[in-house]
Amino acid sequence: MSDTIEKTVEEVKAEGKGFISRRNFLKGLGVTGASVALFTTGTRLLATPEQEPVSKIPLERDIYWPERLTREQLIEMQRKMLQIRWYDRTVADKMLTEKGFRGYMHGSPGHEACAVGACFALNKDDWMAGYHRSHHHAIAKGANIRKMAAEIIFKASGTNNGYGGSMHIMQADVGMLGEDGVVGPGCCYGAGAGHALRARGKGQVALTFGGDAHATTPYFHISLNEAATHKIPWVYVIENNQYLDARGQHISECINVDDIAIMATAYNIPGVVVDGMDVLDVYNAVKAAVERARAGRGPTLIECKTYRYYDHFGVRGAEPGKLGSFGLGYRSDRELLSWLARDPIDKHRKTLVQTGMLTEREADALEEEVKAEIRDAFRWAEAQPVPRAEDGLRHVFVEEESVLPRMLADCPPWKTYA
Amino acid sequence: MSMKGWFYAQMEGIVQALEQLGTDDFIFWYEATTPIATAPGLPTIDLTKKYGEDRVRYSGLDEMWYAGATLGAALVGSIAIDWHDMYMANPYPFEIVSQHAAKLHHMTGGQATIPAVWVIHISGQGPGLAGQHSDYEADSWYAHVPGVRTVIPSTVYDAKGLMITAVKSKDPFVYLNGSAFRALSDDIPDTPYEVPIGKAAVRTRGSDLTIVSSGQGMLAAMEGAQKLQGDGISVETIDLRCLNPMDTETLVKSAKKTGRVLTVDQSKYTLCPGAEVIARIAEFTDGVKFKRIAFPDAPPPGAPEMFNYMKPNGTHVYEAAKALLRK
Repeated sequence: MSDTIEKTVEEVKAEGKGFISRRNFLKGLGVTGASVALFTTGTRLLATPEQEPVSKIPLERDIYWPERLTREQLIEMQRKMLQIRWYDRTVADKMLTEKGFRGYMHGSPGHEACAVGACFALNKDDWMAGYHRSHHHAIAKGANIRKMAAEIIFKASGTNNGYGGSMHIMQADVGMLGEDGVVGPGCCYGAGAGHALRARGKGQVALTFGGDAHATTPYFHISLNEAATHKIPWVYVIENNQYLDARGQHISECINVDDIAIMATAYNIPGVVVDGMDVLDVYNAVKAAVERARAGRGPTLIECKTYRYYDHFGVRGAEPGKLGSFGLGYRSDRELLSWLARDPIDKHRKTLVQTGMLTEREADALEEEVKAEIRDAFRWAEAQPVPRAEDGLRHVFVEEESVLPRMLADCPPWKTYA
Repeated sequence: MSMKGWFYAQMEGIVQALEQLGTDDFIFWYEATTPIATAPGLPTIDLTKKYGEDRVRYSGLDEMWYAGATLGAALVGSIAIDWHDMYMANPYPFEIVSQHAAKLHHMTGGQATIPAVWVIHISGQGPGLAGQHSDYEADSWYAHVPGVRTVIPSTVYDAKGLMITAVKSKDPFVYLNGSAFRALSDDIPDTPYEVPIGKAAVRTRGSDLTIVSSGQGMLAAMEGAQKLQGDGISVETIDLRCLNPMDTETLVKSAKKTGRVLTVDQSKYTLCPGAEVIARIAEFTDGVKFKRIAFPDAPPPGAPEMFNYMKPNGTHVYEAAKALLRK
């Protein structure tokens, strides 16, 4: 694909639709168009850089929202993406090398821009619900990384005190509704939360993350239908990494449309495709959708085209110290390499460097700082105590200290509840 | 005190519980039943008018949706009610309740709180609706689930009191709402009161035999108990009211006194609440004699001849009790 021609076409389109493009933004920052390779490879699911509206209802983007981010915020985006990357790379390496390591992951690498771009569009008091691939959402929303590291190895001082683990990380005080570990109704309760938040009248919104497989479930459709009908302030962000679950079925074999976002048309709401490997592209769309929701105009479906570098679960095909899983039967290494070449962290780094916000050296230092932070988090986690065995009986109810230990021969026959 | 219908008592319970909590941060999703309740000589209760359309919403026929939306509202701190009022056994809310609402507090290490009530219709009273719409089984489903309280009122007094308890609780509740009780009226207090969870009600006191039932099974249980009393038999009739937690203490004490326990369920025989009652009593007593009657392990047929033959009634209770007393 010729980058020059592509952009010319895009500019024409953008002119017609009143978009302010990413390229113009970067130009405004003193970068020549030629030096910024927005897209380096063509793949069958390559998103258009200017977020072509897919559904009939447009998502107004007459503002290019990233333009309003400060230098600190733009750098913070990079920091968060690096934290996600090194958190999961650390988990992967530990799974590969440490015998008896209690943690596991549905790896986030590749998805960093989706989570960070989307969560940057939310306020701290907005709520977010995730799914089983959850590490990136938690970090992006601001969860405590040390406690996350402790949680996935089931330590008493983990985010969930060891009750949840990798798929269920939750930190309520940063606006997490929890991670729905079953590719299930996270969208129902995300949108249901949005409905309650609107009634409260404080302008809060809710956002649900889903994977591509969400589009094959009933929850996806009922939530869109109801949220659209009731104009609920809710944003549904689908991270389409193209492959479903452990079998690695390609999404094109599971849905009958090219873009999941087109399904928004059926519910008469905006549906847009964005480049999930570009944190600013994701941010721009989600921010527009969040503003739309806050203004009382209802939900938006946003599909981020992305890729997961590791296997659906765990570290099959991965090597210590090396990013990604190779030799998986259901996808080609070449495809993985083409997505690695469009890495969201590399891309944002390039943007920061080329716009003079960071020097190469500062960008390196930032990454080293994050790596040290993650190393420290896992070291801290390992030193934490494991839960007391009998604590499994606790937290079944708010209003009951613990349930009876029914597996014990001397378990008392009853307790008084009221 | 004043005469109130079943539904009025429930609506009054909701309003009074919210008043007691001092909040109107309340979300109510409904489907078949508009939340407007009237009673002779009493003010009309109209939840939509009182709390506004942003809070009290009609959903489509989408039981999964509003069960989930109720959970979402509760997770962000609203008092949320799902008024699930379809005349059928309906598994959609079960997924939300059993797999999410019941587990999130525990799975998040005590962070997520779910002050929600799923008011779930429980049918099964009449013939003519056949397998799907006459089915009575949600009691067995929900009673098994840890992390939610499952209550099942059978009197107007309990309908209100358990509603207040459920709405005021910080924990999720399943409130099983029996279709047979909708025509009931009773003279109940106008002021708010709570019915405690895990506390069965002893409806008749006696020393020869214990009959244990719940929900709509209580109709047959009470009818049978009356017949037995007519024969001079001293019957202790226990209404569980709360299936989980189950009031083991009351059950065991009564069984120790009478030595004979008959359970009555409109739910299917296998794993009906009575099975749990018998297991608990057997575990903590010696020498008690048992009998369990329940709906057979079959879907409810549509034809009245077949349905009425299979549904446990007062005569079945009477006969089973007599047989148990002869043991």
